[in-house]
Amino acid sequence: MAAIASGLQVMAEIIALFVIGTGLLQNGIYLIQLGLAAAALIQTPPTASGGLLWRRYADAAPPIALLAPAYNEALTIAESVRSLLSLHYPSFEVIVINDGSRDGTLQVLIDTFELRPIQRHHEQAIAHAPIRGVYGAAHQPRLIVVDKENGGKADALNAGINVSRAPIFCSMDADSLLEPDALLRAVKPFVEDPERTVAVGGTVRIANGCTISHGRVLEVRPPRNLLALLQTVEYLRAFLMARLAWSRINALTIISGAFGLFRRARVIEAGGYTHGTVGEDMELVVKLHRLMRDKRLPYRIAFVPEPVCWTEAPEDLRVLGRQRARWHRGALETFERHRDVLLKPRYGRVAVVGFGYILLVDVLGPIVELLGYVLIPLFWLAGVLSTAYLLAFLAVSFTFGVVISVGALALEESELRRFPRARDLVLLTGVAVLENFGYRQLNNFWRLRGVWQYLNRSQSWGTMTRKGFGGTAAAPQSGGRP
Amino acid sequence: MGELLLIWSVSIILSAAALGWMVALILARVLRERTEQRRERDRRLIQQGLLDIMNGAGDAVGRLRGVRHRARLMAEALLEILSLVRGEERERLISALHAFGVDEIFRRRLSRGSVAGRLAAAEALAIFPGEAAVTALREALAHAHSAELRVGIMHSLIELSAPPELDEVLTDLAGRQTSDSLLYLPVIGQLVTERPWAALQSFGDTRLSGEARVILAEALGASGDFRALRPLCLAARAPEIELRIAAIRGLAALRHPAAEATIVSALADEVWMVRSAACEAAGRIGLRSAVPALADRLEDPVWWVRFRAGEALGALGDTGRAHLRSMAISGGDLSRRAASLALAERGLTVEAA
Repeated sequence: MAAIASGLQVMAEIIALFVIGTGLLQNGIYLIQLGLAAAALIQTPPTASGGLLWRRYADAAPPIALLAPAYNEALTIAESVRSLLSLHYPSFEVIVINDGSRDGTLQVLIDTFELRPIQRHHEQAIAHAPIRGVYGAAHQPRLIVVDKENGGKADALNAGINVSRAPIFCSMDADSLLEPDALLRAVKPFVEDPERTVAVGGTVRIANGCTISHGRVLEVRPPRNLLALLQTVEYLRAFLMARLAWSRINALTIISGAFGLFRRARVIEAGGYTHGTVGEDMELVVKLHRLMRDKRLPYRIAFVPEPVCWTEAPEDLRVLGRQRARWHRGALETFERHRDVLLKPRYGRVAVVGFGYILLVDVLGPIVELLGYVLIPLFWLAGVLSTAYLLAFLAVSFTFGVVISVGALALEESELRRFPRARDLVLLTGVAVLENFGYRQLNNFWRLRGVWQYLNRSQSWGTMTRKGFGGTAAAPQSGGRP
Repeated sequence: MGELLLIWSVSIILSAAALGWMVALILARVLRERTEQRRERDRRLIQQGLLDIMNGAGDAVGRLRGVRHRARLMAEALLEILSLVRGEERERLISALHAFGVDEIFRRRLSRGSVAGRLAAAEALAIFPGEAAVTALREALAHAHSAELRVGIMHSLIELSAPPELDEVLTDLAGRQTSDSLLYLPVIGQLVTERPWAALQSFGDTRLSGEARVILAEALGASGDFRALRPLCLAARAPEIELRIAAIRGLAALRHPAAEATIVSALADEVWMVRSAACEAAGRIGLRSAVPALADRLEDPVWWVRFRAGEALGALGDTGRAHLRSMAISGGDLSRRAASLALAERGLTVEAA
């Protein structure tokens, strides 16, 4: 009996040490990210106003094709397209891909922009569902609408890539809002380092609570809904800390589907977006890393810290849970498809930092955290763990989490300052503390659901009901990951 | 107990650090809010002052006295307004600001403060002609490290008719990590247009880096100086692919029919990007003699070449369109489709073409 008790004690200690060790390692990585992101922000301060950006970059800015896949967006599509057409950029075309919508999305576009069928010679470089027709606008030479059979977002983007002719394309969600000078800001790495830059990600922010008119964010305010507020801090951490840090060492493995610029020729070489995965945005970036590393070509996947795109965050637990489970499933699918990257020295930092991070945070993270939440209290109840140590480690774990969230807020505050009022900052500080008590655990539960769906090979996107920026209820959407 | 104390101490230190950090940031924000408000007020004052000067209103210049130390704000507001205004009002504004000593403030700002502020001052100095501005800009160029700032200064020097030497810019470009930065392209383009002979000499210099030759090839074509014809024709046969492409593009911009033999030969180049560039060039120059070779390219295995060949034939008047029509009816699988789509994009049917 004493031997069993002693064995249980040892096992409990090993599990506790493993859970604590993994947690500390994760937090250590977050601290490194914080440092790298701070260095990146300090060295590249945000650029001045749109007019000056135009003056400096317009002559050298390469043409861009904006690809906006749309599915059942009849209510919002006209305003979204109008907003895209009014972006400040010297040479761009907007390609809206109607992905077999079952509502009147195409008809709204035809009526609003006086579209007529046109012939457009295009490359069949990547496979996608058949195109039913291509339309041009009578008074908007920049607008092309592609009507195709339904095939999902990745399929629609592949069709858009084929139809586009610009050397760079911008993938986005049709219902996201872009800053008027988003393209001018995001194109900077392509202008400064045109040979090496293959992709650029941009910061996506949460638009809930902001004042929006005619597809533009006029006034930045924190959301009034608690869930959206929690996501605001989460997005700051994801973009300003994690993405910026990994891009600084060229190990960024994800560019949000809501906004990203890509060199068209390289994406075609990589085979375009992958069908049959829910994490096509992450998958594409990993494929680009592999392509360039396999070819031993110098390259850069950059990230622009300034906010360029605004998206609507779910304000409902069920919808948010589905979204998070799907994102997690996408990360696991990408990891599985490219797991060999982890073992090959030629992938360098992408393997060690990028994939090592996915392994630690996405693959092991939720399971280890669950183990921690379930087993450690059990061991404590069984009397094999000391209460004093348990409380001390819990305290460290939570305070570390708070420091990281506050750090991300500090980055935003010291370099970007997009929330205009001091009281917004106080509110977000409170949220940065609060998210560690409940929201973080809930998120972990959703991620575990993602693991379960991944193991069951579920390909469902679920539905993402948005309220719409104009206040009208919009159709179900996929929702871009941060 | 020692371990436990350590863990709790870490926890307390972390909490205190987070709390202290945020309190400091919030306090800084409160102070900054006041600064921002002042900045915004000054920005509006400057904008209004500049508009009043242009409208010839009373003591408009005097009203700027309190904000004349705000060099960056003043420079940015000035640049934005001057991008919209031309003619007499512009001249009135510049001479009033010069009399007020604003250019001197910009000259001082060139060597102080943030890069963004220096850049704005450098760009704004371009509107104040004179030796003082040129000297200050040259001195700033000698010390500037940021590529964006260097290019901004070079632009201003060009606008002040005191351009830097082309060789100097090319050396600068070669020394950059991002050596082929597109930022330098407009500057080099302007310098080549102003001094094509110097550019031709540099282009012929065997010590010149590959990237610089590529940039010069396109810029020489855009300069419109026909002396560039022969060097560009030679470069179009160079072993370096990028140089061949740039030379063909340069020839396209030059639009001289004597480039015919080179372009027709490039239509059969082994590299598809060169063939594609040659198709575009044939269309732009209007080389009717290239029509049969372009028609052959409608069967090219690479889509871009077929597309560019179709576009070029469409641009070559009746002869080109007749070939397109003929290929649309009797060509191979690829050329039939390429030719019909090229006609359709121009709103022409196979029969009507």
